[in-house]
Amino acid sequence: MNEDIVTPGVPELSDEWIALRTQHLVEEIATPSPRRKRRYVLTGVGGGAVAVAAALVGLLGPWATPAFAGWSAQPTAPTSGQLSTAETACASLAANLASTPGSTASATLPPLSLSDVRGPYSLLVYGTTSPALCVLGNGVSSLHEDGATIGQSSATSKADGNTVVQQSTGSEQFVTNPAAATPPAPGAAVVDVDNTAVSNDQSFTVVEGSVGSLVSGATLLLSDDSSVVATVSNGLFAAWWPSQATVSSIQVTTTSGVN
Amino acid sequence: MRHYDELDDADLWELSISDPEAFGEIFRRHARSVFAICYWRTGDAALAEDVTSVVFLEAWRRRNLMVLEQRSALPWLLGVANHSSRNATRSLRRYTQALRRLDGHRAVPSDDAVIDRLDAEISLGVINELARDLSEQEREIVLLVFWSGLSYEATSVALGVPVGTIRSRVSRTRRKLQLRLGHDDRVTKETP
Repeated sequence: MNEDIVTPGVPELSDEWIALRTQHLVEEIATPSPRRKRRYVLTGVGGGAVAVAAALVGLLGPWATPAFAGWSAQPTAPTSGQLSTAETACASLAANLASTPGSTASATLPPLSLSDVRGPYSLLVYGTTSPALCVLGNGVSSLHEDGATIGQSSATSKADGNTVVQQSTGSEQFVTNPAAATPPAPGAAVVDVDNTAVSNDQSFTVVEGSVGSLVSGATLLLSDDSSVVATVSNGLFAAWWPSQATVSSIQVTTTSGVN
Repeated sequence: MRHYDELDDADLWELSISDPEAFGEIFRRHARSVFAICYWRTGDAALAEDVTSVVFLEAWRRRNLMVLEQRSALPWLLGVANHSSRNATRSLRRYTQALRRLDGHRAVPSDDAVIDRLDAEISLGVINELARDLSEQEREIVLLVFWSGLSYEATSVALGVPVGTIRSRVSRTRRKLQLRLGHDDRVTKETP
């Protein structure tokens, strides 16, 4: 091309403007602001194909904090005993799920393959093919297990103060690697399971996927413009967040940089 | 105030964890470039000013995701600017409280500045009209590569996609621009 497009003019920012805005910015970041209240939009079970037959049973008790207090967009270090407590609770959830009439879920979970900790919450991934995903902490307990019966829990557990999380499906386009049949390219990441759970006025989305051999980190860019740093381990990644936002894209870190 | 002149963005970024003024220096260095992206995106100078502030607040919030390109924060900041100004209303809403606190920090534009803004809006309007059929990806290439002058590597950081993808997008955008705009002397210029 012999021509380049002309760069349009830009109004000049005065030095005064720069100085005032700099002062404002510094004041804003130097003063911790109170945590913003999150609003959740309730929707019905989303459209799109159910590429992964799965059920999500979650119990959000009355003690559950309304906005998943303490949740972090980046993984945190587990506190002493946090993971072992979560494992015990997940095993119990699996047994309960398997004993539910009509359930095809296994009472025994596969070996633990990944742990993702965000403040008081633990996401445990069991197995690598059609994995079970368990979220626990701060009054939240949920188990997403392949093969279980959808909607089995209905609202019956409200009687004891709990509310069952109904299954929802993730965005069809991101359930692209069912059963991890096709390993991703060395520098790529692909979502295997993407589920959103809805209960009362609380929603959360759990995602699990596979990463290529060169991937050491993954950041999920979400449909609401936020981002979540996933935990990457054993060729898998996993994360969850307290909203119904879906994954827009995945930024991976490889041994050669960011892609 | 500390002297930051000899520090690059990477140093400032690291320092800003304990010294907010260091982040202020990053703002001073890159606010005009970020504003340009916001302005080209929104076509409204006043709106672009507030989105510029929001870009840096958002950059601070997401600072752990920061990617430096040759120790410069600019490409990543322009990526945040591109993203934030694409849906400016939503971006502003997220920082309503912070922007409200801006009310005591707003500079009143001079008469010359108002005329300057009108001229800029007219020229931008002409180009946007002629480039209205570009896809979103092609507009990003125009903004970041053609207008902001980022390298392919820096644009890769800004958009979070591989360099090879940037190359192919630039090639595609050039071809399209050549076909649509190549003979319109209002929007093209001869290269030496």
